[in-house]
Amino acid sequence: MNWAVFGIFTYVFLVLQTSLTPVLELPTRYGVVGPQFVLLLGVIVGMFAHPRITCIAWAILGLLVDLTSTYALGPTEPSLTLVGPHVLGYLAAAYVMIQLRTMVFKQHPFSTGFAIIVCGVAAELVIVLILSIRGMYDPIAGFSALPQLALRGIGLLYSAVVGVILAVPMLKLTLLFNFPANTTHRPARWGK
Amino acid sequence: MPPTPSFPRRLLTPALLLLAVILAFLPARMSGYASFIGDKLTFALAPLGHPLSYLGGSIRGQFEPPPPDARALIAQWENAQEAAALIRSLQEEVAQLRLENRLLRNIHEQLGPDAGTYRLPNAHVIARGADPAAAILRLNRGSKDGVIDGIAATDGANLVGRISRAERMTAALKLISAPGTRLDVVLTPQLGTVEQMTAADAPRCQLDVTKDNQFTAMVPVEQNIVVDSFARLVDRDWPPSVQGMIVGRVTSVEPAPDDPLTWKRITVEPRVTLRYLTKVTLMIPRQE
Repeated sequence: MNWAVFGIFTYVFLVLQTSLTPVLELPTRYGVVGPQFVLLLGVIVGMFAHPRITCIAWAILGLLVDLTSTYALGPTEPSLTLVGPHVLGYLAAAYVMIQLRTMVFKQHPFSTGFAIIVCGVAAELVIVLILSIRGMYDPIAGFSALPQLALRGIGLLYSAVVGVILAVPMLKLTLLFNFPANTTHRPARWGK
Repeated sequence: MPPTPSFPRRLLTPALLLLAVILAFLPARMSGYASFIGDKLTFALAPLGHPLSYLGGSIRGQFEPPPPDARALIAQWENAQEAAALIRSLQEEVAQLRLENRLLRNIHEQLGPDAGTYRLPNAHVIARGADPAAAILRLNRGSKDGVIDGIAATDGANLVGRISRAERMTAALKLISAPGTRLDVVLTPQLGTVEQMTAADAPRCQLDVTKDNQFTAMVPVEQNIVVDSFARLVDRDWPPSVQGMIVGRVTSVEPAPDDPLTWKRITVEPRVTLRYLTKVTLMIPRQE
């Protein structure tokens, strides 16, 4: 895989996720949700890259999401930035992705949407589990596991919808990533 | 057959996984390094993130329903236009400016001799949390600009939040509408004076965040509270510079569901949607 192209896409998708949320976020009864662009990038990489590269890429994406997520603790305590929950969550998602990609049509946008939901569920379960365990000694303000799972589930559905739309150009751009020839140059099953 | 990795290389993956697990469960007091790196990363994202954040906040602001007082102003403006009464609309504008002026004078009076001891730089929102549970905004000013933990951020006469962690180039702003926030407030008429805020019989209560951008509180039924009053901060946990600032507007007063004979429940909403702000003013104490 071309890591420079991956770096550029990671930068753009991370910026979209951290800065464009006011336009795209939707109110729900559990809070507001926005699309997770980083998950889409992870799924695109996971569809085509070597399994080891997939795991490294997902771990990097998780690390970056961790570093750009700051949680509020108690009213007078400083906020918390934490490395780990998303790294481990995204590694779980990478494992699921590697298993899943043999069963789906890689070049179809709906496969991307489906993979976002399945991998996202794996990632979010791990993230919520870690944050809930941490809640025993460093509770995050307003964090409760079940509403968070519901909120993140809705967010994944939303991400999948956005992912299906963005997958159309992204699947065309996979050539830039220089994925292994036996996967990238397979005839497209969609869009021709 | 692929060659078997050497012994140290085989240990690398489990070691990194173990490291991630350890870091994930580190106590908050030992996780300062992540905030430091996050500060640099957010700063690196700012060249693209800042314009997008500003654009996003501005676009969203266009589609937000105007607050009730603004709606009334719009209606008045339309009536004035229909009647071609330009003078009347100008008088409205003057009245609004007088109101703002009086609010700001009150704040100035509240600050007393400390009024000149603060710097009030503007800070732009450059990023929002990438995780749904991260109720924090990142500002483009940090400790190199004099920002320190705990200082307050405002939007005009409205209280927005306080800095929960100041790094060198950016700072994390915790909004007053973040889950778990509790604020002691006094309820005053919109043109409340300092005397009304500090009077012993002024209605006081503790606001709890109940849902996004909304607070509720229980007050005794004897207290006379009307819709459209302002809730102003009188909380010892907050800096003196923001005491008396507007937390929000009372939008409803209704009997408490559990004990309607003793208590009534009030709902307070900030005058602006705090999450969509693109710019705030920081109240930084001047260094002597």
